[in-house]
Amino acid sequence: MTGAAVTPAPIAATACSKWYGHVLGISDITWTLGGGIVGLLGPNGAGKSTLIKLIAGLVRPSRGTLAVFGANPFEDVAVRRRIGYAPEHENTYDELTARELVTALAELAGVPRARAGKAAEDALAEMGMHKAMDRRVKGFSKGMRQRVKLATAIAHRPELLLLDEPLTGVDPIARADIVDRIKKLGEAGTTIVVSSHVLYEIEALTSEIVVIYRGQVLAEGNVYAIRQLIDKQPHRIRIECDRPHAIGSALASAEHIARIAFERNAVLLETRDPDRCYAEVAEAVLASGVAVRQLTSPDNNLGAVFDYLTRAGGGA
Amino acid sequence: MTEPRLSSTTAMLALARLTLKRVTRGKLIWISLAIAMLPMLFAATLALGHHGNVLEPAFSMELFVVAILPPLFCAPAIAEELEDRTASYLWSRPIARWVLLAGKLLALAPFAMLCVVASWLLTGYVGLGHAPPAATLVAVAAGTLGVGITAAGIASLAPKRGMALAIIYILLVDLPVGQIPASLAWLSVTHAATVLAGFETAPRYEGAIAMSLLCTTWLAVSFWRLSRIEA
Repeated sequence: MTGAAVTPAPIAATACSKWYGHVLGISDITWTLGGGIVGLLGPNGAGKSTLIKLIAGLVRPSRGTLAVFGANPFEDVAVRRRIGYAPEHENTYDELTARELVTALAELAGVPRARAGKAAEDALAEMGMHKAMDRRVKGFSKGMRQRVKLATAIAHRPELLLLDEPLTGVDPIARADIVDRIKKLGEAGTTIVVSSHVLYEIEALTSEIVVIYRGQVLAEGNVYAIRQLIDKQPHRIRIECDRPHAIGSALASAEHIARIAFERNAVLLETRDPDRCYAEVAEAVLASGVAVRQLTSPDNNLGAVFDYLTRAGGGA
Repeated sequence: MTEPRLSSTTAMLALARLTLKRVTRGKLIWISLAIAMLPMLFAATLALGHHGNVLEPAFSMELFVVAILPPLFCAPAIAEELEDRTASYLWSRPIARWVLLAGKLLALAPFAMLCVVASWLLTGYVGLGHAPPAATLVAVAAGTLGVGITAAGIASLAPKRGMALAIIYILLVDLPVGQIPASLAWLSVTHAATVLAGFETAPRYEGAIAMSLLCTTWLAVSFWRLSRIEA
């Protein structure tokens, strides 16, 4: 934060609160982000998306202030040129091809029309979508949609990138690839805020995290302390695929597996070593040729950790 | 980072191109063309079995097209952006909120007007054997614009089922109010179109003024609503 006196910080929230009627979004958050990649970690409904929407200028604070590069992103149209945003939801303009979609949104982000096509092409290639860029979004898998969303967010080369749950539903191989691509953007100097309810997703991207729970910042800083707490809880991974028993039997003998449960077209794994488990799931998928439709980590096992932090008064 | 600032006109044009591309790839265009053919069939039936005034009843039928077709285009264009949350892609970009509505209308209003005017022209040739009077063509075009703006306004107020609500409003409120032989009729866009066409005793310029005021009011309502809505 040494340059804060000269250049305004990318994000500065002061006593910022947001309510949706009687529902709390975030409460009294004071937080400054200087740069780099930072992960917002918290269970669903914790306020991560609300905070990201506030930064993107989609909603305005009910109380307090939130400034992006020193300006109010809801009111100041120009500052949004410096922001790239990939929302949590999957809805896009499905009638368009990936190239058309990214080109149109790049133009709307301020890239001149003559250069928008090239900018879109580059962004899609950067996200590993060069072969599918002339296909309609309608037929894309969840992983491909996530990549297209990321391409729409980076095509205009923003200084601040906001990624709301960018790895949700993505298979392990695509997940590793997307993580790698996001890290490269961070290394190139883009400030990135990425949200997730899964620590292991955030951890793969950055060691700097902000833990949000019930609309408040519970802890901020290095991931190590929170990791130790979370490791005490079994981590759950749900894999939706065409042959769940193939994955189940491949991992059944692994010592870190605490429990395996089968659902219709899905297998639910409970593990004490998520890193190993994710790696072994990827191996099992490759070896068995199982078609994975969705891979998610139900977050209710994190609840105990967040409750612990709340009782401890935060400050990990 | 040194790109020139995006002007509202450039943003509107970009949004209009995006909107047109989407519309021309959907089923809506075919449904609209089928609806636009109805007055022509009606006029053909009248011409075959009736030797009286075909123009006025055919115009009434055309008014139904004016009531239904613009909401099919304009209401979902706004409502779906809000309901599907795709507006978040647009509003996180450096464009003013009102550009969403302006860009959509820039693409869809002329498109709907073209459909309705073509429909009315064909109806004239089929029912009358020649083109309908120029004033009636202007009236259906203006009516389409007015109903489109009204539908967009309703969709911005109530995005959930925006299209259905817009059609219901035009069919069950605007059209009946327009039939009331009192000054209340001036609250009706379809009445203003009928006056513009010359089928009412009131002078045409009054129809033009009423249409302009109604459009301005609905535009103001929509801009106000969109400036406050949170995506």
